[in-house]
Amino acid sequence: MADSRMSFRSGWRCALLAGPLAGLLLAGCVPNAGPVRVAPTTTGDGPLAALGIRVLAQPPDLGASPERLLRQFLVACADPSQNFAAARQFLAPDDQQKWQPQAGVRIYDGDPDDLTLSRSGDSLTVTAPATAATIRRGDYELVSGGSSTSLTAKLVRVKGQWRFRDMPDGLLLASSLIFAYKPVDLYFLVPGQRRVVPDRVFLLAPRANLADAALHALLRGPSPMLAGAVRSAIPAGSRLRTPPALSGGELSVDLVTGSSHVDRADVAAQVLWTATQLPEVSAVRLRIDGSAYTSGSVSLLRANPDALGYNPNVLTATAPAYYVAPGGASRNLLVSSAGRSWRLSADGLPLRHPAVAVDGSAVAALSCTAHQCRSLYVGPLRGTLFRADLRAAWPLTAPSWDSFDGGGAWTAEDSPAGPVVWRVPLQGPPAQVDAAALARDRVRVLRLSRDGTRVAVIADIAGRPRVLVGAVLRGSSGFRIDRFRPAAPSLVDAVDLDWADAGHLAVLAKSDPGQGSVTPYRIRVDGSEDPQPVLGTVPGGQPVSIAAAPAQSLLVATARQGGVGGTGVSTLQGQVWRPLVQVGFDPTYPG
Amino acid sequence: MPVQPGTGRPPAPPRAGLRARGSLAIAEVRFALRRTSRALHHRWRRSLHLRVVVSTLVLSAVTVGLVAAVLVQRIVTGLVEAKQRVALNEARAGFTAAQQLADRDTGSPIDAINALAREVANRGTAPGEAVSLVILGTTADAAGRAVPDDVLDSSVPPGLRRAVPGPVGPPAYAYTVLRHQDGRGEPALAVGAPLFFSASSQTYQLFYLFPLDQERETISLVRRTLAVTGGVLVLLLAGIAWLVTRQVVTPVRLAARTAGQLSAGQLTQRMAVRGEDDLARLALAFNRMAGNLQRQIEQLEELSRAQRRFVSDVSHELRTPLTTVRMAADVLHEARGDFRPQIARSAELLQTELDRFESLLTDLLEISRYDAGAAVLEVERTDLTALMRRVVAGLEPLAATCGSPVVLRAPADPCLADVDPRRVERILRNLLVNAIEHGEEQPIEVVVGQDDQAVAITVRDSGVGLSPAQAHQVFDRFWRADPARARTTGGTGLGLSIALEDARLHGGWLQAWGRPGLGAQFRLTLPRLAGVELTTSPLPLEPTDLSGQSLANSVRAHSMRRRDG
Repeated sequence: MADSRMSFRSGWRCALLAGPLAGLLLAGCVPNAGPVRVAPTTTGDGPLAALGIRVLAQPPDLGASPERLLRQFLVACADPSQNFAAARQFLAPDDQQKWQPQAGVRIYDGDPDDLTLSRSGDSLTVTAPATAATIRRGDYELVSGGSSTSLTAKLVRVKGQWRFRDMPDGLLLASSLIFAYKPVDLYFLVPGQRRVVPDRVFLLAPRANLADAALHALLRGPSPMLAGAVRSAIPAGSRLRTPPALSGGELSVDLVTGSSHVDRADVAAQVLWTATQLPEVSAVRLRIDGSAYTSGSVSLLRANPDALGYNPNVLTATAPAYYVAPGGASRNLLVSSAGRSWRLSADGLPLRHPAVAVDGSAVAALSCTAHQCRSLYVGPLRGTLFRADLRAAWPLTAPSWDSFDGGGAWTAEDSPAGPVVWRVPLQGPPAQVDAAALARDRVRVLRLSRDGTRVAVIADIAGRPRVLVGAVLRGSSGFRIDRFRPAAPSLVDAVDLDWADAGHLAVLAKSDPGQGSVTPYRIRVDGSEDPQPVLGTVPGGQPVSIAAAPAQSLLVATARQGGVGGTGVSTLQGQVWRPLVQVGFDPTYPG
Repeated sequence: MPVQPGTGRPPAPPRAGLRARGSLAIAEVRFALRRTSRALHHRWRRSLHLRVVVSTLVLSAVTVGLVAAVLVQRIVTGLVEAKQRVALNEARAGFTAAQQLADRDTGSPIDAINALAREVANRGTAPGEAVSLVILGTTADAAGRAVPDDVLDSSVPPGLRRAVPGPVGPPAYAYTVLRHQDGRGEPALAVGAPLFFSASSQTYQLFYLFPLDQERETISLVRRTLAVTGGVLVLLLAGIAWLVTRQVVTPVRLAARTAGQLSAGQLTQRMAVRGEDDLARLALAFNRMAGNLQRQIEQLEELSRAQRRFVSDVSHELRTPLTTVRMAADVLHEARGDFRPQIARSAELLQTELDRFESLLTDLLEISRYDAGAAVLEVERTDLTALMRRVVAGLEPLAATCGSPVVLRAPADPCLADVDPRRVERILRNLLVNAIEHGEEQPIEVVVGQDDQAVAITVRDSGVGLSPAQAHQVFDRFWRADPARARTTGGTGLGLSIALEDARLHGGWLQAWGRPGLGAQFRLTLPRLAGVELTTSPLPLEPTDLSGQSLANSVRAHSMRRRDG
């Protein structure tokens, strides 16, 4: 009895000892079993690569012909290291410091091989096929239908070698070599709202210094495209006390504004959204005028749209989609993807092309005859819709909403003499919007971005409908839309578009006029990236309208050849289009 | 002129003062160092514990250092080899894909090269961990690419550029430094291969640079970890050595203390026995030995006590008949004029021998009192110079008889000490008588000296002297320098023994020095205050005028020989 108790006790003690010992021994081993865990998501998923690319220019070849040297020079212009030291070697000694490469960039489509050279006397002219875009002070502007561009330099012999004299300032770069300019979104604020808007600029900076360059650009203010359409909470004349320091994913920013009326939360949102787009920055530690900015009790800011409330996407990922279902001869139904439906009719007529306000409370829709829609009805989603007093003589475009002062529905009257653009607030009379910039264009589609700072239109340019993007400016006398730029010169015959997010549009268009039917594309608003075709074939016939929203699946309404009837709505799930509803039209997301 | 506060020295030029103070400070530091090192050396020699702990510390530090060095070496090799294998595989796959891209390219190579650069740039790894790519053109109009954009093309070693032939060839690799535009550099493995575009028949060189930053970090982490764990391990080992040695050293120290107590006479001391281990056996054996010793010592003590009592009893018992014999002898001595000369001579002889017998008995009784521990000190403040003068004066007749004049050298001040004057007088008389008896008609020198702690008296004769061995035996009972010398002259043979016992009773020293032919010197040192332990004596035991004395001796011997001759 005693023996058994002894052995039991010693066994227990052994187990007590063996446990930690075995643990210690196993600690040095590679595990071959264990619980299932979820891997952390990788960074570097944003628009910016983690690493930059630099063109390594070659020094001037000994005894090379002027033509060859000029080609070499134009390649060397792509290497900005040490203030374009490589390119300056091709210039005459007196001209090396005079030349101002940063005066502006002309970008031509193609390779340096596509250039043609002509020599007359001691001057050499290089002609590029066509200017595709320009970059001035970071502002990227596409040039549509640009003509060929040229550059003339004088030749001089220096120590038996050809060198260039009187080289025009600025750069002429091949689009295939434009690595030195890094695209960065600067974030500014929607006037009167706590919401940021991206403003894409191209900065000449090494990738490792991009945070520094982006913050300095942010201090300088918005690009010419958005100046006046957005506001910056950072007062002019602000500066960084020290260069931003990155350590372990945390960027320390020490901002000096020199002003006592600074909305610190606005400033923090701008800095945070601008800095955290870089994959290497995961959090920001911000000091404004010497005192640390804290959100709640947290001094380390992370890009969390919901926490800060400055979400540039406007819509949350759970915002419902809407489409129109036929509900009889006198009415249509507005059906939400959440399964609810409302009557969509007014004055005994079924309404089409609905637009739901961003907060989901109001709706605007058109009353259409077989081919034309001439009346706009606006009202609360659950109540009666009232006809806006537009007295339109020409067809109206599908409405879209802004969120200024409780929201207003925008539509354009497609008159041959130039569009008449209306803003119809929920309460109050309709106001005409100054659209003089579009005076000579036929406007098929006009959609306001959900943040209300940009407007995208499909207008007939050179006889074919193309996509333009402009800025929404708000003056004392009302709204004005201006500064229209082509967003996708390569896309033609666009039929519909929607804002995918603050920087991208979803467009139904053709990349080739000979293409049979339009297909969905995703484009950047400034056109600095080539249009990305959305993969897959939309079932059910010809796509006629498209709806997009941030982090939501694309919706496309299709119509069979030659008829309004028999349309359906399809949704993109993963990379496969699936029918959302067999009979329905005019899909839309709020905004 | 500034005066240094707190220094009583005359103001010196500041530089000299500074220098003096500096050298003073250095001297102080040196002194402190020397004192510390001496203390350490002392502890090192004294403490087995310290020696074991320090040896363990040093040896384990060396061992751990060696192991760590080997470990780091192996880890570095392993890491770099693994990295190289992975990098070469990745580079080979990259080269194959690049060549396929180049073979598909029909026009200018720019698109293919851009695609290669974009592929590396978009891998999405954080800067510093990412693979770098350097594409170099082999002709003047073929511009290369660098990813990331701050990498310098000089990161590719020229040797590797030459080793990558065109237009085809196997990959080559080399270790290099990945240089950035801002001057940073990190170790990297560069792997290069040619890239041939058949459409434009242009050759590029493609170099992947794999940073070894992670490996460097891992190695430094391993180094740090090894250093910390090694340090902790060494300290733990030292601690363990301290504990283990303590387990052994503590009983040994206890045994040493017990042995010390035993030897100091505390015969009942024993070691504590715990457990059954070797140390317990040692304690048992020790205790057994102590018990045996105690028993034997007690037996011996008993025996000696019996002997002493016997001597004392005998002396006492002899006293009564001796008194009777004395009275009879006195009668005979008084009446010796009436006897025949022969018998009268016998009566005188009887009287003399009885005197000797009586003093012998007195000394024996005195000695037995010491042995019985019955001697009592009656202390009073005494001037030893005066005492010595008295003794010398009392012995002047004897000195005159023996022809050895006594020279007394004493300080002018009185030499006061708390002593028993009767016993000190006896010591001094004994010493002086002894010196006169062995003085061989040479002067006897008596010196009195004193200091704060003690007073001392030396008695110097220039007789036959003593050998160093004899100087130790001279205090033994009944010991004689020359056994052949008749016992008729001299004392009882107990005088110096009693003197020694008297000196010890005072807590003083009685020491003898002698050299054959140079005479002998006895030194009595007594503490000024009874009970204070002596550390030094005011007078040297060995005569300072030794050479002069021996010279005088040799001159005298020479002249005597001449006289004999």
